[in-house]
Amino acid sequence: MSLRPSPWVSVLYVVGLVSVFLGERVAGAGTERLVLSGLGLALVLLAVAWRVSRTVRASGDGRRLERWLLGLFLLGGLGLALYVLSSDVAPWGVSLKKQAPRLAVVLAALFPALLAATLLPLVLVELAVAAMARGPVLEMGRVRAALHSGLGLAFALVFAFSTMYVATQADVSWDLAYFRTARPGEATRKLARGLNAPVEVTLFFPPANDVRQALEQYFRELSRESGLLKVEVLDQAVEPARAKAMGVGENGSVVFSRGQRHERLKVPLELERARGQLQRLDEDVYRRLRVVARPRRVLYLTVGHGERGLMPQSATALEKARPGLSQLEEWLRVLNVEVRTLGVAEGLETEVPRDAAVVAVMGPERDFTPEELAALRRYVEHGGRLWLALEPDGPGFEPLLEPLGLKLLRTPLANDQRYLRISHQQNDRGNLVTASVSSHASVGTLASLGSEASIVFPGAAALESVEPLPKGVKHAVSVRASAETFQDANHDFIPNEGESRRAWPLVVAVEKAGVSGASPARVVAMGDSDVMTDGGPRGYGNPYLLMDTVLWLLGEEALAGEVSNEEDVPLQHTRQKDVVWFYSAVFLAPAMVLGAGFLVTRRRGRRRAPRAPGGGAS
Amino acid sequence: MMRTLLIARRELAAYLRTFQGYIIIAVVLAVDGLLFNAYALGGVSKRSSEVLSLFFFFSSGTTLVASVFISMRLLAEERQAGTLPLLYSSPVKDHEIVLGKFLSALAFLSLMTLATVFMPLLVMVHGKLSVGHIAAGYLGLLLLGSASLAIGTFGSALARNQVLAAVLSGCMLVALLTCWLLARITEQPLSDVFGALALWNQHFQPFQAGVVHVRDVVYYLLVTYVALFAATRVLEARRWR
Repeated sequence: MSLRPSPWVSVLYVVGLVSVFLGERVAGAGTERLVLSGLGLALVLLAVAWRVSRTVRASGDGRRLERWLLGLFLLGGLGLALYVLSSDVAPWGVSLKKQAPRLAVVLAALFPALLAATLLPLVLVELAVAAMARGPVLEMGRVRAALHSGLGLAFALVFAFSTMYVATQADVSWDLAYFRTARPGEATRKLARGLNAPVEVTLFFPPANDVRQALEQYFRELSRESGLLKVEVLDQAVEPARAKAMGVGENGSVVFSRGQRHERLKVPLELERARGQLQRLDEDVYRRLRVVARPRRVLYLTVGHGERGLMPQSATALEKARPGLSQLEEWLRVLNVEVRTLGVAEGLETEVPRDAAVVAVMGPERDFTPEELAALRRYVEHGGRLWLALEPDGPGFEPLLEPLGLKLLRTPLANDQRYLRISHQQNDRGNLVTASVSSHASVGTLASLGSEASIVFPGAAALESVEPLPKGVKHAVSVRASAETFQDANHDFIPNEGESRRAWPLVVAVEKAGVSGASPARVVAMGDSDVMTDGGPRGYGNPYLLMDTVLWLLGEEALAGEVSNEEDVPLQHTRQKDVVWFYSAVFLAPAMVLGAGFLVTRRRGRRRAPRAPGGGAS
Repeated sequence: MMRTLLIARRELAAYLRTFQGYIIIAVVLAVDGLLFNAYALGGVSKRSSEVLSLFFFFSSGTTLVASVFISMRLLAEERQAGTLPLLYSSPVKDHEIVLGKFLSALAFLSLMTLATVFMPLLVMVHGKLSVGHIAAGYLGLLLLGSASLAIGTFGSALARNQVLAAVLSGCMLVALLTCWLLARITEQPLSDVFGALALWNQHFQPFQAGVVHVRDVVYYLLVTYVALFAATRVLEARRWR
């Protein structure tokens, strides 16, 4: 008996499976689920029964086709049965998930594979049969190819999902982003080399710990600098008494000891958490080592004349907002320098305190009283260390600068070629960028870094030496503006006629012989105070300028050097860099590709061009 | 294998001996450059790793779009031009045709992607970057490009002309890209399946951050394999339909 192929049986089967899916995955619990799943199951059973009936009635190739389709139906039915077994809808009320959880997982993974191996071949076989609907005979070779294609696709999918599952479970990963434990920097090495008494570094870490290994590597390198630096690794659990003596209650501590003085550094035991700290480890070590190796010094910050304070100043009706010096205080703490304030209340009108290692005048807006200036002058004459950071619109400090042979030119500087873009306005030209530093000891680190560490002076004025210099005074211009900088007299940030361009001196280091046998005084005068505020740009050489300045003023310039820091830094770009990057990325590179394309295609065209008749060599 | 490489070489030469191939590379470079300057570098000052991460984010978008345009012609053009029967009648197997054409497109896309390498190197000049991060990002871009090209090849095998091929490939890519949205609204274990299927969200972000997971590499390779397998089956289906 000849039986025409009918796609409706397969459609009924697929509709039944979809209904079961909707009942189980979309409807959730309750009557809806029961209706949809029950209806779906009934449709599937009906389709199977219909297929069996067609198989019995068919003959020849038609029977073979029906058998294959029945086989696929049964495979799908088996998948459905496995789902019922592995889920909570088992009719006998026993949950396989509780009785045999492993088997439930296996069945849960197997039933979608069986359904895929049913549905994909089913669709492709029906498509192949439909293509032959008007043909006189059924070409079983085409049906078999479709069946194999469908099965192949299903197996490929099952393979892909299984492999993905295994890869996810046994995942291995490599973090290749920027991470490196800092190595001992030049400043820390110099500090270690300059030790005059034994210093012990004790690491409290458990064995086989990643952070411990990173720390050991760092201190092994540092201990080579001096025989006075001893490094020891202990496990707090094994040596509780020694740990307690150093004030350590648990692992994850580095203790720097000199005699009875202990400085502790906490480091997390897990590498992930310790990352950030390990990247700036050198700075932390430098700070602790300096605390135990060097005496504490005091830097007095003058107050009462609108100077920059440690805290930022919010805007008022009369004054604009000004950033503070908390970052500077942080750097000074690294140098074991304590910051105190000095004003009239602290006796500035009479005398500078005797314990002052440095007196700093940071961007005053109003003049000092004659008594205060006299006290500061006496301090300098007796070998004091003064740090003057002035502003173009602030007082000129002539009574202090004149005996030092210096003068503040109170015209602001600007540069239309080399400046830092911050607000993308014309006034950005006031943010001078320079890498022009001398070899003077007050900028030793910057000189060694060269053009890698440019300094940014936002809104600076120039300083000028008044010739002839007073007796016993020596000047060294340590930082100059770049040569195209001009004095912007009319504040329009445009170089007009008469606004001459020069490499203006921005920072001058002064040494002056002390009176009546006093040690020589040291003064650093800067034409800008924003260079050291918290509002200054990061990622430039400004911190080194300040550290070097303080070390020179303290007479410790031999300890100046780079502190190694592997932390990621914000990317600062000047207008020049922006222009170069923009043109190279948007125009130059595409133009080069087009140029190469033009050359290649033109050469090919020439090679293929036919020779002129009669031409060529004989 | 030799026949596959022969097809790949011939197809790649077709890209590079016409000016159009260079125009595509130049346009992609210019778009990447614009996005890099405007969004990755522009605005407030960002950390080097953030700039690099944003660069790979935008590059992944251009790679996806470029892969649709590169792959749309692979098989659909042959059918449109009527040269597919010639390929069928040649002693080349279906999988060799598909693989050869895919490899040529992948080589072209790789060339285009690697031409942008000077941008992260520019960041390196003034920032702190690890070569490993750059390598991880480019590995991610190449794997993403490979997977989307394979999907495009599948779309090209299904369609009768190039425009339809681009539309089909685009739809499949968008469907795979938005799988993470489905993962949000469905329950487990379906949400896990959709989450794992998402082409970009779960699998590309680690590369962008400089982290290489074996599971992500395997995912992109599997998508490539399944899509190419399906494309081969579609070519074969012409014989039995």
